[in-house]
Amino acid sequence: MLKYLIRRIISAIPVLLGVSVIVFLMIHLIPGDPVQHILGEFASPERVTELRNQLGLNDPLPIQYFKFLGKAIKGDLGRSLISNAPVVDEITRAFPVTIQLAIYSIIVSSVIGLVAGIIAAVRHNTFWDQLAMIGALFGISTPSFWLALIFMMVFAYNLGWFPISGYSGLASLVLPTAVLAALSAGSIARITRSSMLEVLGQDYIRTARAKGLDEETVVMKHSLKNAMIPVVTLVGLQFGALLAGAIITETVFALPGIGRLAVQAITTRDFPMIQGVTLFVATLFVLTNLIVDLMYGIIDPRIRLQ
Amino acid sequence: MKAEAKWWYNLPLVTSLSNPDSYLRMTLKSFKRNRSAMTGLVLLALLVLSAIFAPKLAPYDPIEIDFANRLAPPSSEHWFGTNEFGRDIFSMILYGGRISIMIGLVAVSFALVCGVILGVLAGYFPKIDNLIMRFTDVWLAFPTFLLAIAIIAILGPGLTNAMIAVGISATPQYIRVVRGAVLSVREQEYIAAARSIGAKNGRIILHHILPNVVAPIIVLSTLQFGTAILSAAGLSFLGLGIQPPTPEWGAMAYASRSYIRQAWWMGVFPGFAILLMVLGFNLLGDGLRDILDPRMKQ
Repeated sequence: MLKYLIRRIISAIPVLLGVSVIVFLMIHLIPGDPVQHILGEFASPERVTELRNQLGLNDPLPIQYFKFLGKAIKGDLGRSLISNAPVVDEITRAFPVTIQLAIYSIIVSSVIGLVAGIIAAVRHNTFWDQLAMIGALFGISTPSFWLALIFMMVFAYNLGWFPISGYSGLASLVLPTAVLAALSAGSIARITRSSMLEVLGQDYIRTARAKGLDEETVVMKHSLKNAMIPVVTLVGLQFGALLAGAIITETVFALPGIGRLAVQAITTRDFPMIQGVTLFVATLFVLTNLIVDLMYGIIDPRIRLQ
Repeated sequence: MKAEAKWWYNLPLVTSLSNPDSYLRMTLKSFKRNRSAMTGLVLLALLVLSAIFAPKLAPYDPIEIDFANRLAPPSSEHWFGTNEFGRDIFSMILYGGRISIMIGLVAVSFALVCGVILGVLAGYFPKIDNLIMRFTDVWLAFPTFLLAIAIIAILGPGLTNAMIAVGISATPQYIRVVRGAVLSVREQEYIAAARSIGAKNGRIILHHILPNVVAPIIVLSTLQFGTAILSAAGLSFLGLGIQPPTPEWGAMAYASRSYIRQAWWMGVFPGFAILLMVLGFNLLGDGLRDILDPRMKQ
C-alpha cells in the first residue's frame, strides 16, 4: 500500500507543474500587450512602465516562470492590482466559505445520489426506478443559476426562511448548498444505478442469492462495495465541479467565497488575482483526484498491485 | 425476412457494413422504439423549429424598446411579460434559441475536430500517446467551468470568445473517449489484415479506424451539446459571455438579477428554455447511447 501511495503522489507532481506553466502563461496569452489590456487604452506611459516592472514582465520568459514558481511554492502569489493586498490573503479569507459550501453539497448530493441510485438499481424497471432517473435527468439538465434564482425568490424573498444574500453563518449556506447538491446528485444517482446494475448481474451475486443470503446482505455487502469505484471517481470529479460551480452560486447569493473573488477579478482585470485563484482551485482539484486514486487502493486491493 | 433477433445484429458496425442498408434500417428501428431518444428528438425539433421561424412566430421585435410597458407581468399581450426596457420576453426567447444552438454547434464542432485529431493520434501512434495524454492530464486538471472562465479572462467577454472558451474546455473529454475507442479498435484482426495487404497508416485510420469509433463520438457529442449550452449560458449569466441586448438566454437571466423582486418572469422563462434544450440533448444522448453503444453506460 505504501508503495502505491508514493507512486501516486509522485505522479501528481508533473501535472501540478504543468498547471503552474499554464497559469503562468495566462498573462502572456492575452492578445496584444497585457499591460495595456489590464490598464485600458488611456493609461499613462508611466503607469504602464510601472505595472510592467511590478509584474516583472521585462525578464526573459523562463526566468519569469521560475520566479513565479519559486514564489508560488513559498505561498506568494503576488498582490492584487485592485486592493493591493496579497492574493494569498484574499484567497485564505474567501476559502472557508467555498470549502464549507463544497463539503456540505458533496455530502448531501452523495447521500441523495447513492440512495436514489441504489433504489433505482434494486427496483430496476419499476416506477421508483423511473422516478429516480427522471429526477436525475432534470438534475443534470438544470442551469445552476436558474435553480439558484428560483430558490432565492421562493425561500428567501417570499417565505423569508433564509437570508437573501451575503454571509452570516450557516443559514446563508442552506440555499446555495441545496442548489449545488440538487444538481450533482443527478449524476451521482445515474452512475450509482448503472454501476450497481452491472454488479447485480454478476455470477457471484447469483451465488450469494443461491446460498440463501437475504437481499439486504446481497445489496449492501456484496454489491455496493464492488460498484463503488466509478461512483468514487465521479464524486471526486463532482467535488472539483462544485468548487468551480460555486462560482455561479456564490455570485447569485453574494457569498464572499473563491468563486465571487474570481468573477470580480475577471471583471476588474486583476490578473495576479485571476492567476492565483486559478492556480489554487486547479491544485485543489488535482489533490482531490489524488485522494480519489488513493481510495481506489482501499476499495479494491487489486489496484495497488497494478 | 424478419428483422429482429438475429445474433449478428449485435456485432460491431464493420461486420454489418457488407449490407449497410440493413444496419441503418435496424438502427432507425431501435431509435423509433427508444422512448428517451424519441422524446429528446421531438423536444429538440420543436425548439429548433421555433428558433428557425422566430421572425414569423415572435409577436414583437426582440430588441424593440417600449418604455410604456416596462416590467409588465405575463398577460395575453406579453405571454412571458416584458423586461426593464419593455422588450417582449417571449420574442426574446424565440430569437435566443438561435444563439444557443449556434453556440452549441460551434463549441462542439471545435472540441470534436481537435479532440478527434488528438485522440486518434494518441490512440494509434504509441510514440506520441504519452506526450498527448500527459498534456491532456494537465488540461483536465482544470475543472471545466473554471477553464472556460480562465479563457474568458484572457480573451475577454463576448459571443466568439465564449464559444472558443466552451470549445477548448470540452476538448479533453473527446481526446479521452476517442483514444480509448481507437486503442480497442487498433488491436482488431481486420486492422492487422489491412496492414498485411500493405495499407498505409492514413488509409487505415480513415477507412478502418474512424468508421468504427463513430458511435461513441456521436453519443458524446450529443451529451456535450447540452453541457456546452449550460456552460455558455453560465458565462453569460456572470456577465462574461454574450452581452445584452443580444437576446441570449443566459444574458437574459443575468439582466433579471437586478429585478428579481419586481419581475420574476425575467429570469424564470429564459432559464426554463435552457433547461428544456439541455434536457432534449440529454434525452437524445442517453437514447443514442443505449442504441449505438450499449457498453458506454457512463
